[in-house]
Amino acid sequence: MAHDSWLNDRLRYRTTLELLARKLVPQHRHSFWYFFGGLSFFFFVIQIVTGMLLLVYYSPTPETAHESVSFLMTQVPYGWLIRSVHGWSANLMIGCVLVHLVSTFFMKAYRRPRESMWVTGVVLLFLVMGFGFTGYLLPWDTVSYFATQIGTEIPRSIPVIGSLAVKLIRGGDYIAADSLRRMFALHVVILPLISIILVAFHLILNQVHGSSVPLRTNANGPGIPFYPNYLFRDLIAWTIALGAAVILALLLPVSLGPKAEPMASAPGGIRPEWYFLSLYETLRLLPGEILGMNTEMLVNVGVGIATLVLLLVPFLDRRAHRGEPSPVYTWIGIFTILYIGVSTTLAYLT
Amino acid sequence: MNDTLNATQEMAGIPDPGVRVVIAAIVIFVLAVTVLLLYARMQELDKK
Repeated sequence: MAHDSWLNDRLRYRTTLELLARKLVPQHRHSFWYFFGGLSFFFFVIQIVTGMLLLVYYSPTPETAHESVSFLMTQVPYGWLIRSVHGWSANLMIGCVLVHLVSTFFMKAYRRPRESMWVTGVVLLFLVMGFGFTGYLLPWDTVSYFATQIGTEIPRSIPVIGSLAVKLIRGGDYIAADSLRRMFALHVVILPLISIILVAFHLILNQVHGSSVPLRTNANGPGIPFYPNYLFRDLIAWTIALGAAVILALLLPVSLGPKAEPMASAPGGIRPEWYFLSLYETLRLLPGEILGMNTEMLVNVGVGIATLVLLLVPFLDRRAHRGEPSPVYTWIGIFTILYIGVSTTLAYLT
Repeated sequence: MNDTLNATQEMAGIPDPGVRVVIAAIVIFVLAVTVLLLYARMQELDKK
């Protein structure tokens, strides 16, 4: 076609399509788990699009934040739906990133030469959780205000830098106008920019190395081309995912509580988002002091060490590095998931 | 409790459950048709 040739002469997009067609996606009994990487990306795109629409009306000051969200929900056609989709898609994105990370861990897909993909993936997990944390305060309603007040208090017990870290996050001693500005800047500019760069790097590495086949798994042939065959499978998964986000947003819409009153006392029953519940329950169940040391400090140090270990898994698991099974790491993964599952359920039940 | 929830949602600009269920049904229909079309195209491509 003439216009196709005209466009290709200028954009050279066929070269990219040929590159994507050369990338083969392995097909085997665990191939299903590959979808979660694409789904995480898709929800990230939904977040950007709905976030831009919310940004048109949002005003980040304590005097106007709640009013602007209320205006969006009551006066802007389908504003409530856009905000609900943004909220539900955020939760689904975190869920998909978690499933993607866990499946990568158990398939030992972090082994050579994909170490950098693992590291960028772990950093992206913390970034998406950061998105959740920074976005929570923005509506400036009672629950979001006091939950952020409690959440930002946790790093205080970190040795040496704790108080400074709290002040840095809040922009002062309490949650106020500066905190809202900081959370807003992090949520809409800083975290998205870092995430976009890391996602691009992660995807380029995926194109270079291809998808990993788990150890002791026989792939059915060389695999199918990413473009167009696998892309259509991804498109089907993305359409279902879009449906899930919209249906959840319609049937369980995200509401808006009363405006925050910083001078009022915190209401009872404030809990963090589901992905922080395990940490919350751990802090709740443990006594205030263990062996004369502050428990919050111990948990903070523990989380720091666990994060470092998670980042370094590809370099610590030498057996997987050599292409041999590493049951010790598999069992560590199983126990960690069991612990997170049980503590999260306990937090919900109590 | 349901009355309170509905009143809160109405104040927040969220339409009543009946309207939302109708929108949900339309969304499901449109996306189901899209999935079927994509699936047919995928099968066609796999055969090539």
